Amino acid sequence: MHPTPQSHPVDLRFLRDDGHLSTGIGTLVQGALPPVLPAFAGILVMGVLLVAGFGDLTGVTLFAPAAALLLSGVASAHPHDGRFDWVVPPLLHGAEYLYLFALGYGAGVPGPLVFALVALVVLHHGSTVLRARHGVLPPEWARWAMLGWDGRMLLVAAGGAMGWLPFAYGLLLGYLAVLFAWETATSWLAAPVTAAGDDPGDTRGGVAASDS
Amino acid sequence: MTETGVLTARGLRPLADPVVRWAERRGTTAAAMARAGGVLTVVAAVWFTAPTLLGRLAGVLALALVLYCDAVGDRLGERGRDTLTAWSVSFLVHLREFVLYAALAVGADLDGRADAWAWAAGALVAYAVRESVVAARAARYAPVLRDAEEERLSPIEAIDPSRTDRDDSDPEFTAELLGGPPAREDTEPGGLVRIRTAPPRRDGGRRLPDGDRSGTAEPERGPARLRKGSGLLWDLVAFGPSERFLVIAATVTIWDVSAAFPALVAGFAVAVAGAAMTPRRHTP
Repeated sequence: MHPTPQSHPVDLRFLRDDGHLSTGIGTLVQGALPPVLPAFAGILVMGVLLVAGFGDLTGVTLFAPAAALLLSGVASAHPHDGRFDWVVPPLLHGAEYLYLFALGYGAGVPGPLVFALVALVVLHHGSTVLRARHGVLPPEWARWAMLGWDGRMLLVAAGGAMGWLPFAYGLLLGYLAVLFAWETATSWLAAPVTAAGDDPGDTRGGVAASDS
Repeated sequence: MTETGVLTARGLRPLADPVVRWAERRGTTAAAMARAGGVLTVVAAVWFTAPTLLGRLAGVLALALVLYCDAVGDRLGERGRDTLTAWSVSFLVHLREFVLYAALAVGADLDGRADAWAWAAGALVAYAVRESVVAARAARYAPVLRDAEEERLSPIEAIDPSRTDRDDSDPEFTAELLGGPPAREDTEPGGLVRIRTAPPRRDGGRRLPDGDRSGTAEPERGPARLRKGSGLLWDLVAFGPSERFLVIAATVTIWDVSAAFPALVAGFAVAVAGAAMTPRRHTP
């Protein structure tokens, strides 16, 4: 196994993949709260809701797990410089995958559709990290258009609340797939050809990259 | 270079020489080998959907060829490649894995397993969490982000706005006020005096390791020392692509397609635990 020599470090905040709502809540708090505790609190509440009564969640209560996870959004503006702050992005990613997985199977969404949606979100996360390492970051509008973990969870919850869950899964899958393919193609067509070992320029990602 | 796994790196890479030479003569690139690996994964996926032992064996053979393509592509990629190639190779490695899981789910579904897609999605989630942990462990925080937040003043900065951009003190004026201490050896050019915040380390009589008498080397502790001592074991724990394919091949051949997913989930759980114990590669 060989380490990737061109692996440039990526900002932990970039890995969180926050959406509009989570970023907005974080802006209110201005990074004053460390991220680990709110993330664990959000995951705990969400986990309890999923385990204790997910089969009974219907209508507006489907928003409860996503709303609970929004607790972690209060720390989205924190620089994530603590010793254990690295656990936050995997926790958020895992929570989003589990929510999509549990809601889909709990509500009888066809298995291939749930699998495809989870796979696309995983592919989006993986591709974003790879591109940041190679210095070809997705543009800011694309990050917002991908909705973030909070946007995707709330959209699916809204579909479930209205009783259109398979349609919501299909719609989200189609939207994300088209956006992902189009944005990836246009970004790489516009990117200059550089050697993978060269300095990729701005690899900070996230807010820093958009501010510069 | 893309992560290939222990089996490919230690088992197949040394065997890749003839094909690497042939590929170099033909001008084949690492990206072409990655595409070939992707096509072979689709072939393996198609065979895994056949509910016969022959189909499974054909799928296993195709997976072995995928790993060989990885070994050849890894060697070809050593000579440098552009960012698009590096990204596309890594992207294809992700994508082919999803295709393989979907094919295994179809195969298990055809075998009559009603929860095959649930298991496939579970394995996919476990895979994604492992990737996320590895990426987070390699990430860093960005103190430069503070530049963008300068307009948001902390309470102490609101009380004392000159706190952050205060000029250096005037050493001559300080000397005039306080009586002028004699020049010291640790005075920097410009009159600044280095402040020693801790007594010099004496190391308590501890001997430094042979070959490093500079006093800067710290002995490795805990997981770092463990990792150095058993590199192969830790590489296996990382559960790279070749180990995953090996687990799939073994479970599909010995048991059946649906047994592959629990085995993959268990492997990813161990990999996450191992990645969490590994010291971070990038520090601020």
